Amino acid sequence: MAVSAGLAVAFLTLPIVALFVRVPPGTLLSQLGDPAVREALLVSVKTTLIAHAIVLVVGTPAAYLLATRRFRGREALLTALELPLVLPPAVAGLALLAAFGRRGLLGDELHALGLSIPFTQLAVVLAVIFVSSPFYLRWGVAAFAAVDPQLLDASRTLGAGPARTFRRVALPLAGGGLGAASSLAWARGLGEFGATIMFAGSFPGETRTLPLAVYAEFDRDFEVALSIGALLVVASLAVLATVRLLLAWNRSPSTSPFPSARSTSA
Amino acid sequence: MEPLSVDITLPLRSFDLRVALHVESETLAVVGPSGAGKTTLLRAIAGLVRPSEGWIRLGEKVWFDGSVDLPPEQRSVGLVFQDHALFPHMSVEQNVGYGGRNGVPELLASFGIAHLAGVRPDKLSGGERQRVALARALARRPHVLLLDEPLAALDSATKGLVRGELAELLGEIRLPTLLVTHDREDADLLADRTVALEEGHLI
Repeated sequence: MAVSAGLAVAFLTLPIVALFVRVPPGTLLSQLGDPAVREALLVSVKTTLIAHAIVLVVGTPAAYLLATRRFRGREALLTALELPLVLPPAVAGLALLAAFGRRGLLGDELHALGLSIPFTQLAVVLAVIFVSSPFYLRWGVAAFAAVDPQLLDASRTLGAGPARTFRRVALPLAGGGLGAASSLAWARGLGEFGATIMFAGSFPGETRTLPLAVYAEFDRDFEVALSIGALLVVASLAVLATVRLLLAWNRSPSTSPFPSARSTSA
Repeated sequence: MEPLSVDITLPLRSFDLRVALHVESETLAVVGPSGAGKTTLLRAIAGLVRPSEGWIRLGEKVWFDGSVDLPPEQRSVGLVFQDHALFPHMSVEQNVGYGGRNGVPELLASFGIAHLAGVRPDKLSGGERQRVALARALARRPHVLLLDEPLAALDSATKGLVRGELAELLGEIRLPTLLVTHDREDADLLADRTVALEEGHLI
């Protein structure tokens, strides 16, 4: 038992350690000054910020409705929303092309509007939304479902309409869980590779995000690829720490009436 | 105060809830075992569940009938939940002020909870939570008061004290009040009249 645990830990941490052994912090910082890295960083920051803003604005009310309403086909809908979570990223890219490509399902309509989406920055944003929003919805629904429905009822009988109930009761009580969901979704979007390369290509300064730059620099300059890799590891660690903090905060009795319900669902 | 009139049918899991009630400015206790439909009756009057047919009126004002179904926020009810349903992320003062900002300090004072204004609900005793829940329900100046097992969440030592306070309060406010409980003794001590509910029917 101890041997297999040790093996698992070694196997999962060794590659990460190796990455940092190859790139000492000093080199890492200087490599990050490389124009290719800065370009990719800019593309990544811009596309993930836009995509994430859309995911939050659309996903938060959607998650609330899915968590609080009972209707026919709800389970089927929740399963359908989770599909992109398990879909191979390359297939996701293919599916996006089939929907929004020139000869895709909406190709004629988009063409009539003068829009060509594939291989543009908009395509990166769509790819990121497609793969990251299921994370936010899935855990957002769990966060809202963990809010005692009686508190929402209480708010209504105290004169607050549905919108005020959402703002004053549901949102603050689900806040920690939503924050964790948001971090996970953002991390998934930042690391997105397969769907992006299929649907948006890898044009420097336009659609080449950090993960795509790792792949591109891998042929050109291994050191730079390693530096970007290390940067992404640091970002991932930051996300994990944020998720942990938010969930711990959410479990404190002053914000969560049902700590056990939340910890099992999250 | 205008009287509350209810005549509704609402299907529950194993039977239909069929209740006709008329409550003047008095306290009517509905006594019954758990699962008899007591809480559902209160939720229907508050607008949280929709009856399949019938009507709910306050005086001449229709809250529910075949064509009208006012949402909870437009019905003038104060509902005190069995486990109080205080907002855990708000202080006592914010809880009480949630439904109506006016007169919150006076209300806190009259319920003897002014010293708890800044405290979160998880730091309160059972009796204190009960008082906060009542003050919060009354802050909206409702025309009907609905109490769901108001003494069930309290230990026996607190219960006697709170029951006395509640009896005094009900005597003062003279609102049409519907109190549901499984405890006939509580009903006798708090209510002007008592009816029994079993398997969805008043007997």
